[in-house]
Amino acid sequence: MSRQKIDMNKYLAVFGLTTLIFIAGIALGNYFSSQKLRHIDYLGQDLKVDTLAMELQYDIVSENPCEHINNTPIAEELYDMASKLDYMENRMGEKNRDVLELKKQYSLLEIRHWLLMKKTNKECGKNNTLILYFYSNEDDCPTCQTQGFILTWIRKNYPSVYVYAFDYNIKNSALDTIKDLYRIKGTPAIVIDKKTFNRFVDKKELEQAVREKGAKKVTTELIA
Amino acid sequence: MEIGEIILYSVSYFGLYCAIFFMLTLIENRKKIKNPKRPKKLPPVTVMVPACNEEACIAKTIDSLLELNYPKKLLQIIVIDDGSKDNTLKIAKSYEKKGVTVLTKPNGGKGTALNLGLEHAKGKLVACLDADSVVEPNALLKMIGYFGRKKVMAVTPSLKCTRPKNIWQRVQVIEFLLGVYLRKVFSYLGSIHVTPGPFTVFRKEFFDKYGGYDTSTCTEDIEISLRIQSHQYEIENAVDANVYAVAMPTFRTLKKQRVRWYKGFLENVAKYKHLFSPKYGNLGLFVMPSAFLSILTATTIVTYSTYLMIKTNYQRAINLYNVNFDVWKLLKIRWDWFYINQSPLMLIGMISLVIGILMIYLAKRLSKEKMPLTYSYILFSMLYLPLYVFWWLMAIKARIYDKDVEWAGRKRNDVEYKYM
Repeated sequence: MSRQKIDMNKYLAVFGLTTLIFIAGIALGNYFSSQKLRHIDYLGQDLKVDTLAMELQYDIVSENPCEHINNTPIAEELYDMASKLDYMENRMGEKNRDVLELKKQYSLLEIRHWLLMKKTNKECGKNNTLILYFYSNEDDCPTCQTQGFILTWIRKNYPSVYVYAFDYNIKNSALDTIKDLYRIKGTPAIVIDKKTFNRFVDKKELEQAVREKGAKKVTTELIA
Repeated sequence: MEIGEIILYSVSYFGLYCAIFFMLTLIENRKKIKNPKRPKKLPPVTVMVPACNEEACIAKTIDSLLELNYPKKLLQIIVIDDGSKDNTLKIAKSYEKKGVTVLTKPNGGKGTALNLGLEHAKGKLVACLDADSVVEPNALLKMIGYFGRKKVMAVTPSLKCTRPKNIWQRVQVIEFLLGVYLRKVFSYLGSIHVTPGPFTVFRKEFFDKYGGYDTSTCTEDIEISLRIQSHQYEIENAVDANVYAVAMPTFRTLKKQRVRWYKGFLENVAKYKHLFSPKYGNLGLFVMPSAFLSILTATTIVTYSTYLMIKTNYQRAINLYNVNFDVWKLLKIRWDWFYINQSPLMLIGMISLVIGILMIYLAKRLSKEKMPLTYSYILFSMLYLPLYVFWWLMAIKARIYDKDVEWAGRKRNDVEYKYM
């Protein structure tokens, strides 16, 4: 019955090999994740530079800044960063320290861009609708995912609408000031220009609110 | 790390361990793949064909036996009609002039039919061939050499499916090929625990010594293999001895068949639970426990994935409902490498997929299969795991409630045999 003998060395060798492959898989996966976080970090740095460059642009072309300023590419970069942060948050969890750190940076960049947009609206007579959106990824906000989805829909359908999404649980003084200023009490909360909604706002009501601010829906023909 | 992730990592580790263990076993024994030389003096062999309402295919089954490359005077073919209500008996009788023995009895189940066949068997070796299966002409000669060693009580063939016609049959083609691979590996580990109904060859002396087929079980092929293992005998496998069975053509018949198999497995494992011991070598230490663990792991994966899928899609449905399903502008997706899932679990999953493909490739090569398999493999990858879990849950339910399981019938006029 030699074939029925238990070859313990083989069992151990397979254990070693499996563990090795497993650890290699985990290490490789973690390496890719860290590369992705670095990529977001780079995106943040690029954004920082671009925003600063735009602010400087204002000062340089002070004679007639409105002809030279174009906010759209930076806004697109912001959305790209937000989408990637969201993806990493889903993958690594909302409590991951690296993700949290990047989210804090992102919030500051958003505030900076928001201020710049307000300035552009005021000084250049632009009619962009600026929306601040406060959400929570914790279990206390069951409607936040849907609210975020509706806002994405609004942003894609109304090109002059800019949405700035903030994690309500992130602590920084600038964000706290905004919360105080607009009397944000919980999540979901939406600020459209100066009007605050401390509740879920459905698509119909949101569309009405942005239309009142002069936003126009893009038609399919226009996209094509 | 969440509990779900910990479970998924554990399950992946177990799956990977088994896959590597089996692959390494095959590599370790690669020089033993060739079948042993057959003896100069061939032993007499009896092939029993139990049949119940098999009029559509029994002729082809008997024809394939008559075409076996084996001395006719050493080959006894017995057809046992198990109370058929169709023309099975009439067709079988028409082969009497070609030397086929035909027995008939009231319906009592496959085990009783085989036991009647055993009473009339004159061969030193006996085989059973289900009446919906066909055997390749050289299969018996390829298997016979293994009986050179006294400890070998049974030799299994490679059981494969005939050319598939629909998705259910395509899934089974790959499943059967994986069975071909595993059975060869298990033979090297001394751990074959299922001798397939179609054309496993046994030493008749085993039945003489330890009794005939167990008629109380719905899977007598599992019972007999566990009984052989229980008496510390060996079961071998001739990987290039091909036998073809028609795959179940519908979801319903497939479910019935699998529930019967799995319930029978549970029954027989309970009966031979003493086999779960290192005393029985790799079978008791690793193969049987891992067979059980695989049910648990597959159930865990499928349940967890289903939960995640429902949760995600439920949220998606709510989101879409809230924008009146107007998704036109949301569909503009930009390609970005960033969103490719490169998580550790995904990478380990990819490794498992590669090993899976390698296993199918090896099974195909070893059994000299020529059928194209890409489409079948894709279907298998998508459908098998949930089906497997579903069948197991049904079988466990049938076992708990001690429910009788039906034999799966199929539309016999749909049957097509082909040597491939």
